[in-house]
Amino acid sequence: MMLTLSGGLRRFAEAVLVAMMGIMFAAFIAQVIFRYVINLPLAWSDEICNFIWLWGILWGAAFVMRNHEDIRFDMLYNMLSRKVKRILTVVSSILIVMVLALSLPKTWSYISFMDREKSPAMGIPMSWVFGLYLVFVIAMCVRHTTIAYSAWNNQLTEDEHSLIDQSLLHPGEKV
Amino acid sequence: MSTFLGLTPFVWCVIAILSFSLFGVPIGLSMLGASIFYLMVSGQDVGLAAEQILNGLTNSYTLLAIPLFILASELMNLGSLSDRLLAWCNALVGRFRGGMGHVNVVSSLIFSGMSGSAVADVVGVGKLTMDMMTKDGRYTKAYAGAITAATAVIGPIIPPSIPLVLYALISDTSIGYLFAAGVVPGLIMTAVMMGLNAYLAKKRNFPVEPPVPMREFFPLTVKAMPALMMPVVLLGGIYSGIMTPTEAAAVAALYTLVISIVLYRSVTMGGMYTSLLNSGRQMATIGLLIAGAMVFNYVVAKEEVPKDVQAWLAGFQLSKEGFLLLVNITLLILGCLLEGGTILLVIVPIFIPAAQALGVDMVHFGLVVTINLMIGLITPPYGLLLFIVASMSKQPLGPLIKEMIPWIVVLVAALLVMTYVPETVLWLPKLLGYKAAGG
Repeated sequence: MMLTLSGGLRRFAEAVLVAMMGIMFAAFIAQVIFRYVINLPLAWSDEICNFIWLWGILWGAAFVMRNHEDIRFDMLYNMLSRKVKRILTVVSSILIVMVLALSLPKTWSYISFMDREKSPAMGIPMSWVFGLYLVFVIAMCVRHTTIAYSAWNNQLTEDEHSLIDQSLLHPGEKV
Repeated sequence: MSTFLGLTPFVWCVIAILSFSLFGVPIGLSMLGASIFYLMVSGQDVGLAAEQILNGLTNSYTLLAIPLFILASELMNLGSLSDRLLAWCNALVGRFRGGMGHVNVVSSLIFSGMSGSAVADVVGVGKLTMDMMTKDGRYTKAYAGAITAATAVIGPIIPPSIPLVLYALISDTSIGYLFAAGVVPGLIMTAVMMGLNAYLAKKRNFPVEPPVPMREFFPLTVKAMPALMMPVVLLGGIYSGIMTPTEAAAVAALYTLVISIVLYRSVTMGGMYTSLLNSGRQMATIGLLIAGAMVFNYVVAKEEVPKDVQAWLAGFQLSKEGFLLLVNITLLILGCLLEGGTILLVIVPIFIPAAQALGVDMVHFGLVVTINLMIGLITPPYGLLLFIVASMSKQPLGPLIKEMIPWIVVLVAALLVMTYVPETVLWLPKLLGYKAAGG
């Protein structure tokens, strides 16, 4: 039940990202056509692309990417024993959650302060544009809490599939 | 300066970044977390972290080229473009000894004119050529893997190039000139790798492909022509001044899509969805790294680290040549340990003021740094391409690394030539009107 729910949510998150990429691409093409073919530069297309670039990164990083798919400096980490990995994962995840959570109030006040500023072309309040950052920070807190909890229960994020075959890193060890 | 538990805030920041990233937190997030920690212990407004990221990401029009170049290379791997180009390369160079090796080099050169990322080259055309080489066991898996990883390094040197876009961001250099500067070095690297392949082919008696008759060569060229024209469209658009590099990236993606749909009829809705999703994922990955680097670089600038490094280096009375050698060695070593994007966004900015003070040309410096980082992708122990190639072809790392060594040696030799003969890099940009530093 939980699995199908999270699978469905992930597919939804992916579909949103796909839509963002599609809109960004289309807006760029519209911009090039309007500027060079019809000689009627669009004001909103630049802005849309810029905002989607920001949203796509925050959305993708928060809901589509998994921890082990991000760029990590894992050379030393990979050499450690599973037990040490688990302890370090618990500690580092808790610390990152603490730091991120402590930054929330000031982040909130910066973003709500930006309510006064409107985007130049479309007139959207910048607090709306930037609001996804708060969602991203909260999602990261939730994710790393989960990671800490799973590591405590002997599950590490790299146990799932990744582009790099984990068995290469530990030829002797069963993964 | 205020201290926290006896250490300065910046020292705390470095400690935090090292402990987060060494303990498996993604690097982008480590930089963000450590910078927030720095803001806390130094008593600054923690909201600055959000401000740096949000303004930085929405105010940089140049960076938008990155998702578009990613999309273009995804679309290219989606259609049958790769097959057609490979057939053409085979007709061109397959007839020589070690023919498939040459096909591998030449196809990487052509593909690098279409995609901006070495990883995309390896996963796309690299996989195809690797499979062709190891089919029937004509080449060992290790040799095929080594040549595939090595040639993919050309990808981000020949324009378009994502690392060069990132370098343009940190150094305030023109993307157009940086792209132009990549052409000759890319060709030099192609030449040395074809030379090495020819040498090894003769020594080990590698097979020859059945020569494709000349009368078939022309139709194959016509079929591959729309794909071969892509770099011309892209660079022509930028250098004629018609388009910004960002718009050129959008046009490149559209061009790939149109030729895949109209001419090669090889695009499905499902394939399109996957390409957009893959591009989005890559965008999020690199974007998180850029976001983290934006906050961290704010900290580094606030602490005036580049100035200190410059003053420290000035104490050694280094010549321009000595400085470049120092940078090369430092980056080659770091490249063995760290991922290229991180070095480019975090370490390279620290060297830039010193390079400028010594009169090093910024376009030349950018190419030297980028080539260096690309070699880092194939140097053990932390060579991203090594891991990807080994995972794709299901082979152990040991023999692959052994086969990799001669390729690394020739590439480092090429790097030294390009470092000390700046004309190899700057000739084309100068031809296009670039005014290099120091004449």
